[in-house]
Amino acid sequence: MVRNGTNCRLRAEAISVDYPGRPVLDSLSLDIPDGKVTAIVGPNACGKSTLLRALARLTPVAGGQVSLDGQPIEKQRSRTVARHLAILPQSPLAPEGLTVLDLVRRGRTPHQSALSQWSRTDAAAVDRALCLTGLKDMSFQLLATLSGGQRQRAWIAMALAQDTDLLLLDEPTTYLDLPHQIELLALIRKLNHDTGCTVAMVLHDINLAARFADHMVALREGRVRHQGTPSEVVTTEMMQDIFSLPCTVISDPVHGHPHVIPA
Amino acid sequence: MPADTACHLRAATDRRPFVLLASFAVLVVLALLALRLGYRPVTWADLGGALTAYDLADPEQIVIREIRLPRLVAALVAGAALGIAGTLIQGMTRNPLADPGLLGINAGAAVGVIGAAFLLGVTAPVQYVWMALGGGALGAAAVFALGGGAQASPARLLLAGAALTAFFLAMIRGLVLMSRQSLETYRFWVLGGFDDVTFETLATLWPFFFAGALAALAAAALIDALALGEDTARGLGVNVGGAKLLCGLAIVLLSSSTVALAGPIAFVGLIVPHMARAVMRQDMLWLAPCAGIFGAGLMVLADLVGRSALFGGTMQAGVMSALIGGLILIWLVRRTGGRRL
Repeated sequence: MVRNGTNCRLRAEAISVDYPGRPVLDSLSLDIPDGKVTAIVGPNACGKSTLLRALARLTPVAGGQVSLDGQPIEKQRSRTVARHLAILPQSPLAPEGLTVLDLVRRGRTPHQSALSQWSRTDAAAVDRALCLTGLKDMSFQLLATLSGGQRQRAWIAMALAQDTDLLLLDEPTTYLDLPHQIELLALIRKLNHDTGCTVAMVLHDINLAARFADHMVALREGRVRHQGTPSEVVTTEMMQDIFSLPCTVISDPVHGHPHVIPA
Repeated sequence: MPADTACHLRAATDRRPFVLLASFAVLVVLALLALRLGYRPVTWADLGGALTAYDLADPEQIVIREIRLPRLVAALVAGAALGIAGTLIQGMTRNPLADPGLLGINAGAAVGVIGAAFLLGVTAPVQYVWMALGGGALGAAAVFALGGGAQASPARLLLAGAALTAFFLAMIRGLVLMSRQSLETYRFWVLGGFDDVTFETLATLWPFFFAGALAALAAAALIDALALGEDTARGLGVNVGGAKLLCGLAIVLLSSSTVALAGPIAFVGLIVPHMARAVMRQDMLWLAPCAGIFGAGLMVLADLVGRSALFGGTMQAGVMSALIGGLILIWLVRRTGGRRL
């Protein structure tokens, strides 16, 4: 359980998800603490991406429910949900010939309808997203001409333009080299600090998760096995339990976060 | 970066309104030429008179009003509809080779027309407008159903279209072999052109074009979201199934009305979106109108060249548009190395 006094707008209540022939999530309950950065970790095929997708109503649940603000998420209009919750799927596709600005503007989709025109609020949100991600100077560049790190920042800018309090990211650091991973996670930390938004993301790298998250959730075989602060979660026992990896956990001499050293 | 610099950047790079205006101006010139040029010589004065103060006693003005004007309007409408439908389907399927014809619309319409000629002996163009419209819509509905309805993946949709088109073409060949009358009807109809267009046909079909254009307008922003992948679109609050159905409805309305109006005009729906994307970037609300203007222009030009003395005045617009459009496509591919296609 998340410690007392923290509200949780987004919760999974005993959700189950089955892919043909195998259960992926098994009656899993999880609260995403408001205003914090939560990292979901676990071995391949443990269901962490499926959990994130279910939280964002991209994958339907077979049992239980995901609730947003106390209401079942699938009972709410998708457009209404999209004004509160943004999700960046893993390795999203962009059509050729799209500029950064074109992409970021599409984040305003849930705020528009066939009848309403592009408003000053829309322009301000796009501008803010470009500034926060440091992409303002590159607004008119084609996505295809950007580096992997810049491109990922552009996608995050699109999610930011959606102007939501909740931001879900599915492996945002995939395909990035270490400096770009650090840069991106530092950006997410800064966004959380500056705007107070709630972030939940799936991450592969335990050490990076321990450094950049407030709250960690460790999954194995579709169940939450450990959760809490990084120092509560990242332990030798957890690494053995979740990854079956013998290791030593030390305190990172620079930042003081737990750091895994595989045996 | 200060805001005024950003505005300056935007002003410097956003040439889209200018492109739209310029191509619209070219379209107007082409339209006037289409009314002015033809087998029977008319003067600019006749043209002015026919458009502003129609004189029923003047044979030149009658030619303009009764023959060239409906032909021009049909070419404009058909070209615009194909351009818009092609842009929608390429955006929706994220496939630069998609063409409204791939959804079984043209083949379905052909079955409708040949079937009517074979079974009912219908041969007058005005009569088989409904057959083409119904056949096209049914063909597309069958493709959407086979492709998996609202859950259809782009690849499945196109495969279902290819399979159904092959099936329809086999049926047509069978019918054409069995009956000489069907062959005559088919031979004439399949080329695609505006020889028999009257205001009556246009009056029958305009509500369908209009409804298709409205559906396209409503679908435009949804397609922009869909182009980012279905998961991203869902995350943006788009009802993906509904968006695809709306987009499909727009494509079917626009292209089956076109095939009813002018026969199966190949290639325009494939090429025009590439021409539009070369100048417009990816934004459906700009791209679709641009493709509409380009398509209309290509069609009017094709009809104009096709009935000029160069080809003995008999080349069908459907043949000519593929010829001109094909050259433009080759030029685009060579210029960009195919990267942007």
